[in-house]
Amino acid sequence: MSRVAGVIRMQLKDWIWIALPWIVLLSAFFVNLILFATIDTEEENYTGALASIFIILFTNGIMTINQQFSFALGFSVRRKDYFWGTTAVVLILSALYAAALTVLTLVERASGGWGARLHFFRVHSLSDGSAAEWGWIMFVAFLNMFFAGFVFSCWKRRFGLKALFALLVVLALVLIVVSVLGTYYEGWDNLYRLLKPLSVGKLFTWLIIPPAINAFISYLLLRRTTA
Amino acid sequence: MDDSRPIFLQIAEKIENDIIEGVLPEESQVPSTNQFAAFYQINPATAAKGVNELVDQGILYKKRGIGMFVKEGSRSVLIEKRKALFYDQYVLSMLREAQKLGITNAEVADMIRKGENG
Amino acid sequence: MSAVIEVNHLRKSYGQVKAIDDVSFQIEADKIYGMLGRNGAGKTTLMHILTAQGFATSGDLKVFGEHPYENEKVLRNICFIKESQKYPDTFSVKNVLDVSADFFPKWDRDFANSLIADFQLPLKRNVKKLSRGMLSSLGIVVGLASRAPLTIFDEPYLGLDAVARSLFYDRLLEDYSEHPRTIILSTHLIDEVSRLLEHVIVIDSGKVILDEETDTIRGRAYAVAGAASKVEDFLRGKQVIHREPFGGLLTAAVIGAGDGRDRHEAEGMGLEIQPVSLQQLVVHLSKINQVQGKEGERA
Repeated sequence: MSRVAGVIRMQLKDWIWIALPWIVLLSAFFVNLILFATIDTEEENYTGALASIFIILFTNGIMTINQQFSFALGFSVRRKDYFWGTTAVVLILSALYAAALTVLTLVERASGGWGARLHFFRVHSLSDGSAAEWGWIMFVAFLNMFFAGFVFSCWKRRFGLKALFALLVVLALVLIVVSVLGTYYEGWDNLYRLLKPLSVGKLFTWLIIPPAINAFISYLLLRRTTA
Repeated sequence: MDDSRPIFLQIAEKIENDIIEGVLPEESQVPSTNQFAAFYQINPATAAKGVNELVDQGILYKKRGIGMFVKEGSRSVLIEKRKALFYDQYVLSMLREAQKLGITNAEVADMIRKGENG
Repeated sequence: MSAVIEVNHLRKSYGQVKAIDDVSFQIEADKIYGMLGRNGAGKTTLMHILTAQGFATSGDLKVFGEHPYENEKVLRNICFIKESQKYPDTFSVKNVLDVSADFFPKWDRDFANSLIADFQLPLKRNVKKLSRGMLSSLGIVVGLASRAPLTIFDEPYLGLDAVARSLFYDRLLEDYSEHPRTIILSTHLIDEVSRLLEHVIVIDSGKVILDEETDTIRGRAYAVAGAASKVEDFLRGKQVIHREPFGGLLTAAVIGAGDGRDRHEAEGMGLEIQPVSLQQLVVHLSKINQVQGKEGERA
């Protein structure tokens, strides 16, 4: 068996990829459904609980370095194979989950919010376009969440905890400087004017860049990481 | 197994003892290297070295594809060898100890006779 | 004999600390090696580098003729059972075996199952919930059933009782006889495994201080004991590796076979010749190495 396929099989043996996110999401869904079905209300009910599955992808990005990376390296797996196997798992699952959530959103819409005016899967102004666009937005969001967690975890693993704090401080400073400068030079207005004509779907197409960069940096960091 | 002496020598000695005591009669098959290794929990290469030591001395010989066998006449060869060793290891050091304690050779001989009867 | 591992002038330092200090040695194919030395001598660091899980500061390293770093051809032939191996929190014993089957090309499932039965490992139990001994047993099962051409065990029997250790030696020898491969046992407990080893490499303070066939080392030194003045007379002109005075008595370890002329000479002087075990010998040599190391620093 190819080593990448081995890593994919190894990852999927862990419940954090499939069981955990759906248990959390679906239990939140049913609690909300029962809640809003029993209290008879005329209002439209939004929950925001959909975010939980995205947050789990973020924490998985952090955890897999400590859990599966050390394990795999100890079992004679190349860093490269770990990276590509894990990336494959994330790409495949993100696509499947985005598709599944899109279907659930459509059902929700057709059933009038599950007969209880519950808008669990709908997100205001993001999910109002076509089904394909909504699916694409969620797919890109999954990748952003996972690789954000992944790159920080790789950095910590490579350089240690102090270096992680240092990185966070530097990033915070950069953010402050950029926002101050942006306000000073009226950059925010220009940015808004630039982005305004874009649809959310197009906007998220641009957002494929950050996870790609994070993935690339993660790979470079892993190349020099020890068990 | 005694960890302070080469183990291959100890294996060779064990086989020698078995031949002298008749446990391994002449023309009988000697256990395989792997059997020695498993029984004494020792490295098979070390066991093989012990067996080969006796092949070199002409005590054992190899039948191709079957294994190692005890050569005819090897028992008496071994007994002669052990007799020489016996004189060197036991008799000489006994006489040295006797000298230290002021026991004459005649007295030692008496003691040996006493040991025979007792 | 082809070399499975070739190490030349390998160094690894953490700042000022030299964990591996100019180490060179070869490991030949299909032998059982012992990597011996005290805790913290540098064994584990060295093995991490050999398996490309750690990096050397300088020096050459070849495993199966190539550098192991990110080298699939080399790595798939290595199984390194680490004392500190981490397992994913949710993994059961069975999960670990399934993963092993995917990563070790020569994995023998039937052999693994028979070992699981021998060591009485609960297949469904979470690895996190295994005792130290069971964790060691799991490592032994993976290491043996992997049949990897280069199998390395680092302190494989922590927490194992005498029965389980003996079982490990039995299974190791049986399977090695049928499927010869290169095996490295790294340990600080020398006496018990020394019989299994064809060759030993002793590491101390990051240096190789002994690299020899085990049987050659056995009987390489002997101890002589008696009245201190007489022992000192006897020691003149001999290579002494250890002195242990006790009242007016002295026991000294000397390089040599301790037979023939030496034995006669000692007995003639009323001194007693005693054996020196491999463990004792390694301890003596380590001490000499440390003394020399300190003198080297001063110089």
